[in-house]
Amino acid sequence: MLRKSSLFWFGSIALAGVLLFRTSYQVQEAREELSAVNHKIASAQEAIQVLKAEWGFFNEPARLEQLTEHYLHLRPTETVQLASLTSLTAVPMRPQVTPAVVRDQPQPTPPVRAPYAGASAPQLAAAPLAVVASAEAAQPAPAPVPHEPARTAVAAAPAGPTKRPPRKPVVHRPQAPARDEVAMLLARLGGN
Amino acid sequence: MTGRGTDEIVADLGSQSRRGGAVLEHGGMTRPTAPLRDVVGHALEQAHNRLMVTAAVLSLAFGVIAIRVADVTLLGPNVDTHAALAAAGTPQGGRADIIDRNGALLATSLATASLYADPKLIIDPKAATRKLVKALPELNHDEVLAKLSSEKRFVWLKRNLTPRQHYAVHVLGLPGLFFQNEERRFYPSGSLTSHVVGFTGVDNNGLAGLEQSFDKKLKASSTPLQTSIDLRLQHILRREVQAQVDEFKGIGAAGLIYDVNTGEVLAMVSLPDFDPHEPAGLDKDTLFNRVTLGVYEMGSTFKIFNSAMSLDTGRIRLSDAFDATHAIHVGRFTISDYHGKNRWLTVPEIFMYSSNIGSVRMALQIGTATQKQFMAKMGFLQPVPVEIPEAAWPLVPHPWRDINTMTIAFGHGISVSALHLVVASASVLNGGIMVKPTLLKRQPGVPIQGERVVSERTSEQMRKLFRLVVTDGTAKFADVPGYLVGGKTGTADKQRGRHYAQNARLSSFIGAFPMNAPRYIVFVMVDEPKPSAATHGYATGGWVAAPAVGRLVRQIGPLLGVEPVDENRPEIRQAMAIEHLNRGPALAAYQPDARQE
Repeated sequence: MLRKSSLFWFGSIALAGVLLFRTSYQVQEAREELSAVNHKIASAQEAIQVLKAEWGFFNEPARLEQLTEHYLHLRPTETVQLASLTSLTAVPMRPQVTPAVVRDQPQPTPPVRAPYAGASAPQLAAAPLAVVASAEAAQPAPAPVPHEPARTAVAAAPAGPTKRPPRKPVVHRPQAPARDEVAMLLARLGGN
Repeated sequence: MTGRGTDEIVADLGSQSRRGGAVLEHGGMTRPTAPLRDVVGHALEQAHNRLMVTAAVLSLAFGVIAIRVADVTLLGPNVDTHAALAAAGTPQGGRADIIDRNGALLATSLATASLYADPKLIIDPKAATRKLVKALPELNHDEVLAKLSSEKRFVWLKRNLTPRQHYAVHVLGLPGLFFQNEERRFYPSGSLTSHVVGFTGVDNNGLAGLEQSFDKKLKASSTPLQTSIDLRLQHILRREVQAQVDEFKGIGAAGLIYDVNTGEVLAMVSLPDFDPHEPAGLDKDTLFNRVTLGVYEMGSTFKIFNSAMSLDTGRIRLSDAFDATHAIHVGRFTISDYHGKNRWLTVPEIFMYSSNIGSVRMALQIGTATQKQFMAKMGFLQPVPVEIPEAAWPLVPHPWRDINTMTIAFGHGISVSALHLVVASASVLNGGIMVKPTLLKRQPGVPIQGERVVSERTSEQMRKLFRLVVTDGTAKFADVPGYLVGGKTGTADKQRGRHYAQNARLSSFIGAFPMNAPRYIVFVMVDEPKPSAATHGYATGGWVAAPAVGRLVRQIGPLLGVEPVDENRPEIRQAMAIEHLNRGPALAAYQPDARQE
């Protein structure tokens, strides 16, 4: 004989059972999800590791140096190109183009370009420093670029003293980058 | 359980007892009814009590469970526990990375798969080989066929496949092929840092360099190990040192860039070096670290310590002069100068012209005991306390006789490593504080421990002497306008058996800049340089090593943020000015272009 209380208890038990069952399944599901996410994390970590290695490999100083030589007109900074603001206080922002400054220039046409200053300016006198330290110094004179004539005519032809050398000389790329970067990395690890 | 429930039970029991009474009656036994009622009442009382206790215990238990369930489900999940669970399940990376001081990667671990086969499970070796070689063209067809046709149960086909190759083999779907997950150490800059970082074996145990000394730490945690090395400086140093080796056909070389104040090694090169990916099968010469493991008689660079010692005792002043007119004969030895001035020389002149005779006279005046004590303070009697296992014991005379005192004055009779020399020179230049060298980056804000070895005054005088060698002495090639380079050349004859070889030298230069407040030491040493026509037959430190240091300072000065100064500024001139130099007419006769040792 079922009483109301028994009904209540049986109902509660059934409800609890269902809830427990559901929770158990949810836990199982969540666990599977966790393991899937963990797996993803692991492969992402591996991918990051490979990318980091690749980044290091492509940023190897020797390689960068080679690329810089190929594609840029930049050179190592010379001491005369460096100056601090305090040491520049005595120097006018726009240097007066006086004969003293342009004495060793081939043609005194503005904008004054300083010659590549490594050999010619041993002392850090005030006026030449201002010229060298100006923005023009970033552009080296066309003459001393060593590997220019070997390339296309673009760079060699208009190299007059008053013209800027072309910003980006077109050169044939040394070689197309390999597709399988990871293979390149691992090739360095040696064979079998 | 309620009172009502108990009543029911009591009623139930009552009916039972009534039936029991009937049974008893059937059995013919007679008992009065009233005592029976008492007994039943007592039993009922007992049962009631027991039930109450049981009910209380059970309710307590269920209550606890209910509270816990409510806590776990309703009151929200505990985030910490979840994070901990997730962390426990998160796959850990392998061996930790090694990075340079700017974060550039020096060593890392890559997860790779290696392909192996169980030939017993291969159904058709020929077809399998054909497909496999198509997927991995670098494999040799015949070799693979032989492997797959063999009777073994395990053959390696290819170690460390790339992900692409892994996929290519995977899609073949061949039975009998399996992958083994492995980890390979990868050094992005190859041999550039090989002697600092070292290498690992096939099972990823560190076998040399930092890989060996920090093996446990690298395995335990995944935080990268940050070294004091600057990869850019390392590259420049290696390039310039290699250039000197090529030009002078040396058998090896060493180079070091060192922070004078913090004791950090910014670059360390030993040539010839090796590819850390394949250290096996290399000869010992390439694995040999000439900076820390090789001990050499350093030659004239030891006059740094002879002078510092003499000045620091206070018994010899800069103005003191010593007789360098004649060679010194001791037993079967003759101590002479390369290009003798044959006159009395002051202390700065002895340093500048690198006079052996003068140095010996200074050392003799100071005495053997003080010299030994000073060399111990400089760390020359112990291995350098640096973090790589390749740290050599110096070779010191035992017993330390007067003849040793004389030879040590100009750097013979005691063999130390290049790192010894640089660390000790740093302590002489940085104001007199000996700082422990390190290959790990110092964290900003952490005070640097050091102990005073020479006085500040001595250090200041030594800076002037260093500068003098570059402006007027044996190392003019090392000068770089604006950076106030100072230094000391050294050319030592190498010992062959019991004698000194005439044409096997060790030419070195230890340079520092800027000399008004030294920050960095640049050291270059070339092992057995051969004189060339371009150097007029010289292969001394001033010709071989000093130009390399000059080129190095020119390139690394801007990178290190050293501001060039005008050498002609009065305060600089005054800081570098040295008295007691112009003694006698002989200095005028000294030809600046006759660069000598």
